[in-house]
Amino acid sequence: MKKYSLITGASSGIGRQIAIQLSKQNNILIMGSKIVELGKTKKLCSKSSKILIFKYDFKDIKNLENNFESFIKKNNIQIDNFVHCAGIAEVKPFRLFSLSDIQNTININFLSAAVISQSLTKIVNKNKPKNILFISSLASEMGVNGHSFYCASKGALDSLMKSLAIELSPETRVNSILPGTIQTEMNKNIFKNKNLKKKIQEGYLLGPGKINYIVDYVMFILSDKAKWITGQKIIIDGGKSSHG
Amino acid sequence: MKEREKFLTSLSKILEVKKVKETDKFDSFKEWDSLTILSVIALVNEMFKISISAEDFNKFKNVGKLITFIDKNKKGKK
Repeated sequence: MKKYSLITGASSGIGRQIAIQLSKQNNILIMGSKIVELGKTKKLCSKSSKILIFKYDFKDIKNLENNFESFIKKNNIQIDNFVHCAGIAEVKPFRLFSLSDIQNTININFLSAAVISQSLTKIVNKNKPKNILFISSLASEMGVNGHSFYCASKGALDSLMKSLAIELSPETRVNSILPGTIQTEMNKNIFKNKNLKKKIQEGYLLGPGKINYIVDYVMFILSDKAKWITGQKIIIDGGKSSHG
Repeated sequence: MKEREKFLTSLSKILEVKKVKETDKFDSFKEWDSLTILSVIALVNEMFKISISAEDFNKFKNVGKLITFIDKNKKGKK
């Protein structure tokens, strides 16, 4: 049985770069809803490892458990590390979110991570994973204008992380990383707006964030160097949250 | 015509008013702020597949100017 690291949301941004880095030392399974983009990620990955693609739209949360477990069985693989990067950030006034908007955000950002984590701790995965790592957001700790349900979904992710760290120890280390704002495909529309961009980038004492700042830390957390770290919300934000 | 009425209805929901007229100025609405602008931009993008930046949006002083812009860009795409 071959061991794999699973990365969701690997079709762009932070998820794609994590997949590329991880592929240098692990077989990887990449999940996301955009098959063309996942194919591009695969091409960028190391040729020395096996790369599996599983196209799945996490809006369809009801069928995730069955589909995911069938995929694991069919390919006869075991997931050793799980990094949840999939996420959407819909920006609009709180009063304008429809129930369907809210459900999509919760399904993609939070419930998909919960359902996959459940599957990974069942017999279908043979052994418990070594790491479960959620890419949360600084927005879990701080309110952000227009991001009400994005913030709520990330808060849920961090609370789940704490409980799982206790329940799954000592076999599995469970952590979340809370990046400050980093320009990616997900938030490119906000960055197109000069005023919003300026406002968003205020307060970063160490300058604007870059994807590799997060990826490097992900690699550290997944490694044995972090073997005494679990149940932590790790903020990486260039000093943004140090403001009172 | 139907498309225009549908757009105005959706716009009135975003702005939380009963009806939107083409002569209405955007900044006269009670619920007009930067997030509402983003929501209107998203609506235009969803309905007409036209992208407008927030800076460009500020040039539309009233609803009619926005509709004229949408009509022009729709024609250009055909």
